[in-house]
Amino acid sequence: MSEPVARKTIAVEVNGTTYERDVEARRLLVHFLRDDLDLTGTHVGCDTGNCGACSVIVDGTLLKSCMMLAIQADGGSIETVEGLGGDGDLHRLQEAFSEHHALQCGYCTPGMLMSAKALLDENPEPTEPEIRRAIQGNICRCTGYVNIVEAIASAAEAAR
Amino acid sequence: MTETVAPTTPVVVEEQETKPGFVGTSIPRKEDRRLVQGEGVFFDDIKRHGMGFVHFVRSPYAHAKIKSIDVSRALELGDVYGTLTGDEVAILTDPFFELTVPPGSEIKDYALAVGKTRFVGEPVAAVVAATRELARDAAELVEVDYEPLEPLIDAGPRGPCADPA
Repeated sequence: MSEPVARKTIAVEVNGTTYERDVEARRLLVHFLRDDLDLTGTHVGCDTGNCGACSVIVDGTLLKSCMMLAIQADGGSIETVEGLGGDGDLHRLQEAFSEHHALQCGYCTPGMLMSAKALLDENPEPTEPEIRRAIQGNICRCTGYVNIVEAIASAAEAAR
Repeated sequence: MTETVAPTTPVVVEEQETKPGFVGTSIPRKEDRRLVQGEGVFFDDIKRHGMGFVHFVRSPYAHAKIKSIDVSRALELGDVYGTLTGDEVAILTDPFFELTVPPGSEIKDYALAVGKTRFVGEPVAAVVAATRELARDAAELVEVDYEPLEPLIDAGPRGPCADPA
């Protein structure tokens, strides 16, 4: 068995760009994204895996980046809110969130968007219960969920 | 005598004459674009040169008297910027404003526990250091001497209490 290491150099692909950084083994993925890569669109809401503000997609799987160590993502590919859309264009989910007033303060929005994206990647035509289940790990404290569910449904509709 | 003056514009406006305005119309929010792109700047997103990270030392007791707090070992670590204890907070700040009626309004509480802790996880000291990890390590070196007290674990009528807080 190899000795435990306190630090490690990791290479992680985030939104198509590969970053190589020397990180402490205990550094959380969310702090790696926010502090080491300056991708502050991924938020920390609770630090305990409850709120979903830090949700990102790692190798196709939606997860809360405060529940994963940065070194566990070594060699992996991550999608964050900054990678939605592109070239100044908004992703259809981003458009739909704005059109349906699915955000107010915007703090939970990146996590909501990533949960919604993970859902639509897997299930392009979700039913309302399926949408509600998909965002059950994301807490919104100001807008409420009805407009968010409508926004996701309309983004799915728009893609058809 | 009061003279009547005809208004220059009609008081009653026919419906077809109203111009589109803000009332009853959905106005696109100008802040949405940056927020949906993750480019909103929240407090935690702000970075400054030489910025420190805070880590709190928290109470392991539901109810305990804080007999002493020793931060000297934490301060010995390099790149620890400073520490703050409840007693210092009580000197430096006023108690929180209590938005209620007596007896609730008579509570004096601060940003850190002063004198005693009243729930598990209550912050009793803060350590600021150059990195998140260092702040956490330094916080573990803060030694707090507690005298555990009987916690109140149910809600119900109580007799007179010598120390209501």
